[in-house]
Amino acid sequence: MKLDSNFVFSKIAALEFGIMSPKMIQKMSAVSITSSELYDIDGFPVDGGLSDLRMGVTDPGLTCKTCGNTIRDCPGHFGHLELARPVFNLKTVPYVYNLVNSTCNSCGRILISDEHLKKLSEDIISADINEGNKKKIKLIKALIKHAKNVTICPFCRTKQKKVKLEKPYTFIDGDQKLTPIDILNRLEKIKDSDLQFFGLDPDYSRPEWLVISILAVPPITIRPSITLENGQRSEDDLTHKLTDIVRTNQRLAENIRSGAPEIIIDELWDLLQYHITTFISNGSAQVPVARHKSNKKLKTLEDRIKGKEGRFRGSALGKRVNYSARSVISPDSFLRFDEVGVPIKIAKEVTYPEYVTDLNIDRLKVLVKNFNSYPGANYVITPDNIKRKITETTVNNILDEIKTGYIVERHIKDGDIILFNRQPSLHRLSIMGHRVKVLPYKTLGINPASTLPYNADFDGDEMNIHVLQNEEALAEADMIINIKNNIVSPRHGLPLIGAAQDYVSGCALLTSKDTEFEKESAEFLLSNIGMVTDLKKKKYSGREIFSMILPEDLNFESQSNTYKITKDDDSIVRIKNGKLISGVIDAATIGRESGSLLQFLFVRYGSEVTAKFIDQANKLGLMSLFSMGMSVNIRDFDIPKAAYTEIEKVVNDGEKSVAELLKDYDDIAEAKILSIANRIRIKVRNIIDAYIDKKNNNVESMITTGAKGSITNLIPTIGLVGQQMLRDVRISNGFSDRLTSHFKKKDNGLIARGFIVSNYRDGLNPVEYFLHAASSREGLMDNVIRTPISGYMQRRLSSALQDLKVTEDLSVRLGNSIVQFKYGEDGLDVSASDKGDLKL
Amino acid sequence: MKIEIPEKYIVAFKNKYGEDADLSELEKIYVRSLVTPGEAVGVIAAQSIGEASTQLTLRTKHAAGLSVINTTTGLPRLVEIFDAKKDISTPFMDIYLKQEYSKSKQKASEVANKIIEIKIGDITSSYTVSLRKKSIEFVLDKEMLKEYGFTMKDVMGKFSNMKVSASIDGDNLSVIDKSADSVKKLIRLRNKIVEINLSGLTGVSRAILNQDAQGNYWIKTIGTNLAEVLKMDEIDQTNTISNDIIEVSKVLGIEAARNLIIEEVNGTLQNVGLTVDLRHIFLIADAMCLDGTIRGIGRYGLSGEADSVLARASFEVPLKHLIEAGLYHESDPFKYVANNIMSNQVIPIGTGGVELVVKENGKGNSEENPGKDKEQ
Repeated sequence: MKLDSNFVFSKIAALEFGIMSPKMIQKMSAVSITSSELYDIDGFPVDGGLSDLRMGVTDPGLTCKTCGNTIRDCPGHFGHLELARPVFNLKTVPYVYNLVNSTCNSCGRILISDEHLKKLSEDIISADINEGNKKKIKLIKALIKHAKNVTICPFCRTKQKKVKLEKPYTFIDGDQKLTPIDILNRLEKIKDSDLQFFGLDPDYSRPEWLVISILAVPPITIRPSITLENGQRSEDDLTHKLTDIVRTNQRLAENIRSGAPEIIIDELWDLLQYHITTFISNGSAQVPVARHKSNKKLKTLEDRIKGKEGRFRGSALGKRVNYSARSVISPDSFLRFDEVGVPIKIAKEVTYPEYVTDLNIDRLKVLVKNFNSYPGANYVITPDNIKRKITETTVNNILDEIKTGYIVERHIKDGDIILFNRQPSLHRLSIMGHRVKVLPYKTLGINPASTLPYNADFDGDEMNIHVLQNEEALAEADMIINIKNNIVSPRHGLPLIGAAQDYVSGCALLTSKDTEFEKESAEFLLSNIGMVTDLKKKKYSGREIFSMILPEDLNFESQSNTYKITKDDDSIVRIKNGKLISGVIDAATIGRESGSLLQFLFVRYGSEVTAKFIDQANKLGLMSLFSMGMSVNIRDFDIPKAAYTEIEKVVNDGEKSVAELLKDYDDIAEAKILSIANRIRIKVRNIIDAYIDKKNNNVESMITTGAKGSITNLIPTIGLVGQQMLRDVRISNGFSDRLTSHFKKKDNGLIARGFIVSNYRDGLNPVEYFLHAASSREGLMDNVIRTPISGYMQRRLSSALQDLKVTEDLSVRLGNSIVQFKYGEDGLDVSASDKGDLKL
Repeated sequence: MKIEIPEKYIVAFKNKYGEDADLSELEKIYVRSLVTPGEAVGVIAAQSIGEASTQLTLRTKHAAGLSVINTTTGLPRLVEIFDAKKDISTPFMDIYLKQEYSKSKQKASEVANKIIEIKIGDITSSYTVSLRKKSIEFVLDKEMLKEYGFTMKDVMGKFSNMKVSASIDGDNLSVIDKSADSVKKLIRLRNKIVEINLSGLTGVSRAILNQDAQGNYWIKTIGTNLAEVLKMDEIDQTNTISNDIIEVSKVLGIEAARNLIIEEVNGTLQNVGLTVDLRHIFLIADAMCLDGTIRGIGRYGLSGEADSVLARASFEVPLKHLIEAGLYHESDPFKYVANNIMSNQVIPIGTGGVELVVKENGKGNSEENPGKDKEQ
């Protein structure tokens, strides 16, 4: 085994930035561009043209004249173009402007007196050392601002005229236009010793280098030409622009040589300036956009770097990977919550590279032999790093030569750990480690208990898996981002994985006061969670059965959701020495984002115990529901006639008081009407709460246990839908003074302004339906607008805080500065403690 | 590192298990609950808030029931706080009064009236600008004057240190500016005069009396002027607060501003029923206040001032950062997350923060101080 390849012997420690001088461009250039032609008649690259083979190769079969490599290995080499006349670089114009205006126009010295400079130079040096670059740049900016307003040079006493900059790149001195040559002359006059006051270092950035006199021509490898099907070549946008530059440059040079009139030269010079500007950037305000014949914008250098798909965000930070798969997800309650059901088709495609050792060679050989069926293997990598596909023809050879040191890329199998992800990956719990369970389906299976951190549902959601390719990643996936270790969220210290919906209903049913099971059904229940036991008693209460999955030394007390609503003392959860003495286990104890018992277990007993408990509790709940049954009937939504008469009365009373207010209708009345509408809702809520059947009602039981739904959902379903609002006010009458033609003009009563008295069960009338849709649409729009805003905020937050980390002394540091002396002021981890506290 | 258990936990522990309880047990619990060194707490904080913010509302909600005061809440407010905006969209103050004023409605409303800013514009009913006379004539509203308790003399007094001559003629106030040579200038002068403060605090346009559960009156204002309010004797200086973070940092200092950031962010989140642990908010507030001034988190704040050129360039406006880096000959130390990701190196956070050197047959890193070679 080649251990060497796994060691890091050297790393990039730092990157230095500077401006390239014309000399340097010449020095690193492989070719001087002299021709605007790309290819000769035979289709070969022209010497000194923009496709010159010395700049690299993009066609297969050719070799680079500089490095001798072929297409895959040649990195590309810069060329250079000597400009007949210098031009400005659009992006450095503001800096040139500052330099020109803060130096003397005749002697080139900085416009600040000597004694002043001495102090400044000390300041700048000390700022650089003590407070870093930012401070230094701030100082320099202030200095430039000051120097700009000096009217007489303190050194040669010349009067200074301010040079004006006419955007994008015209410098004007008085009424005379300054050409790049004039500017170049001025910049060259600036002394090396003065440069420090502008933050420049003469070795790395001389001011005159900011003006382009020699253009670096990028290698062909970054602007490859493609051959179309009809044999025609299609060049890259950069090459197009470069041909323009070269051609204009040639014409300019010829005209200068032949002594053409000034006007013609100036015109060509301007054209050259334009081409070079649009070579760099195509988006600046005053420069006309360079376009293709088809009117498409040309892609410039800036476009390649900038933005989401640019070099930084798109390429350098956005890595692409192999060994990943994506599919629709389906719920599967028979998977453990830390498992993911992987279709066989995927399992055969994404592989794990396993080192062959004495211990596993026999197993791996079987896999290699089995290559075209599952479980098998796809490739073998020899110790000399040659990858070989296992096929009908190669399989025997490979089987013969395979030995320790080989790597077999085998199909993933049950128990392998992989990463599971759903976009948008808003928090770290959007990517977690799961165990593989290979299944004969076509979709990825996931236990509904672990959907919350991914924010997944099953209406067509797709998720991704990533198979890890080395032991280090495997270890981290198992021990750090394993879903078992992330049951409790770092955001608020509550479990994100736990019982939901049917699981809660089932557990609540199982642990309610009078639930009892015959010995046989109890044994059946337990067999489903892997506890095959011979029970002794004849009858078992649900709580006794539930106690069997609790840790034996557990002592715990907590209110249940049921207790909060029924105030029945028996519903308070009390666990003594692993026995559930009283209490209904519901959403408050094992639910997601609320389960106090889960949080308690996770912190004290660790992830393994909690994970096992969650799975067993969920399964118990599910199987209890199977055996006891639970369904919802439309009668569960019934409230007696008396309730409806009361609701009607409430509405009538409301309308009456609104009518009273309408007599003197103004803004204050409007606000009062709104609050009446609100009060009606609350009264209806109370009526429903008072009248709805609390026993033998599965809707009500789902609400009390916290499995699903709430009273707020019942109000519009069986009470009334209530006031529809747009932009926080009642839907306004608009130009026609009424919402629809069903109302009188200028009617501001409850109903006429969008108060819906019907409910979903009985149905809405057409007008109500329309108004309800109007206010629902507002919600949708809101959501669409909100998503990018919060996304951008999160990007900024992450980018600002990404380098903060906790050090060994629990202080939080950003580079060399301390942000907090102790993380969170007490050093506690939210998810490892009781929500940032210690409950002893 | 020696572990020091905070006193409150020791007390609680002894209360529960007796005076001579085994403290090593407590230490175990304590150590188990501490953060892991190397943890990327910044990213966790950012994600905790960012993920929660997808559930925030976009609309501004009225603060106190029927009251006319609108306050920015939800996502816009959160963005505003993190941006460290200078002009927040709904500045307000909660002014609490000293005992003797808070009990009586009359006294409290007197204080409120003292706070509301009244400008000359508020008491003028109309005006005319004349370029020929180089004057502006204001017609003052007599009734308003009376209501607010001003005399013409009070109004005149305000012009004493301006370079204009003012005179009174009945209800009219005429202001003559000899230097005015264009209508534009006169209009500008008019706009300036209209804004002249007659009484109250500059910037406070309304003050509304509120009553708390104990029957104490307090004042909510639209617009802030914390520095002036704190000078008033009637005010309970210990509780009175503005919601303008930048203003608070100027008036009360950076620590107060930090606390305000925490309170505002937490309040906004709790308003919609989202729970985010305070630690995350602490961290963001601390990072924003790191250098003694409030820095936003965006391009012109924390993200734009990162040490690493590549990190800055990868955030926004890459070209500007690259050119300036070249110009100022900057050096980008590869000890941050972004640049190490770009170069396919291990990031120095979490498990990547552990430095381990293996000598294989005497090869490998044999320097005296292994690991230090990473810093230039």
